[in-house]
Amino acid sequence: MATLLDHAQRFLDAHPVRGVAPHSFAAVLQAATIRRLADGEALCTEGEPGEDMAFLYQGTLQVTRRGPDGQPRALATLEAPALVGHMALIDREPRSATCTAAGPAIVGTLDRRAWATLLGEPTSRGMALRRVLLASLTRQMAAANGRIRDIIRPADDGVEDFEDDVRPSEIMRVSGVLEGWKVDAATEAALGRMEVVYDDDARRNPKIRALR
Amino acid sequence: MSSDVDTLSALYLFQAVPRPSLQALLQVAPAVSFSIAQPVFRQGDAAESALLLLSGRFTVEVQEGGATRTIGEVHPGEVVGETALFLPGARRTATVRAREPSRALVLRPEVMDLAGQNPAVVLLEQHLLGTLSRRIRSTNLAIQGVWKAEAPAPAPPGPAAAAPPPPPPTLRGRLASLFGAR
Repeated sequence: MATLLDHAQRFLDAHPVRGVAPHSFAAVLQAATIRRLADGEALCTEGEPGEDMAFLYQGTLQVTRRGPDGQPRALATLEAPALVGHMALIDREPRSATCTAAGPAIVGTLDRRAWATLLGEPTSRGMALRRVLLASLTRQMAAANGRIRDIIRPADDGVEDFEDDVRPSEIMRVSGVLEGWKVDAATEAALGRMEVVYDDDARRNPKIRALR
Repeated sequence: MSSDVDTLSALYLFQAVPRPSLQALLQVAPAVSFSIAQPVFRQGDAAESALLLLSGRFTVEVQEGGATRTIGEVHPGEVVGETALFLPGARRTATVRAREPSRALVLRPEVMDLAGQNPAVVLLEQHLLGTLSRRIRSTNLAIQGVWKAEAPAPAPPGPAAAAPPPPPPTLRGRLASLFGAR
């Protein structure tokens, strides 16, 4: 059975953070409450207040968000190890997406009170939590900036081309990257399927066609 | 150094921090001065440090196809260039220039490690978390606004509508006007 130190090491291997030792991050994980999720069980729900964040130790989470028609659409797939739900704790905004276990999963949840206490601690574990969050936010911002740069790079001929315009799903991808949802190959494929839905929407709805 | 300690302790962020902690921070993160128009960071350079502005003012500019566009200002108590602290190998995405005679604390990643448990650095990191999350939130709102914006209504028919209405801007065009053609 993996120890908290193992989980901390795995997390830092996957998401390197300068100046954070595995034992310091393990001390953060020690303050979290272990929760086992069954297949299909929701960890957090879009629109609800965010009162905790989670470290995904084992398993996979499916991230979905409601589209303009109110139907949930795949936004990302999170594989362990990963941070989940930290944005809502930091900015006190409602959950931006729903996270559901795809198969059995194990998470460590840190409620707002424990999170706030750790965040203000002048200790190595407090520093570990702050640095992990800061590194994650910096990566989110940098990745989204990169996507925006790619999107708005002018065409070779410099002429705006309506046929070759940015698709709404590409903007949704950037939005997802900004919020910290890792957009992987499975999600790209799912968003590709969503493109078809938007194409259908555009055929039916002249306003959407004009936006395209 | 004492005047720098005074300046630091006068910043809202550090008002509750004991002077010895501020002195300890200044020992590892010395303050430097910039004259008017002096470049602080240059777009494209390797990002190796962040700056905490103590006094004066910086402007932030981006180069776009030969033109320069000012995208913001930095005021005392604000941090600029923080990507360098948490994203190794990053490059500056904008040029920062002193608009007034300015003084700033140089924060290098190793400084943050050395002083990681200093109460001033704890507050600084918490402040940065808030700054980054607000930036992410506002960028996200801007992006989603582009997506959800209503298309312009068609021009009413009649003799005044002799000229054809301009075509609705593309999503790419709207993003470019928000973020600049990078």
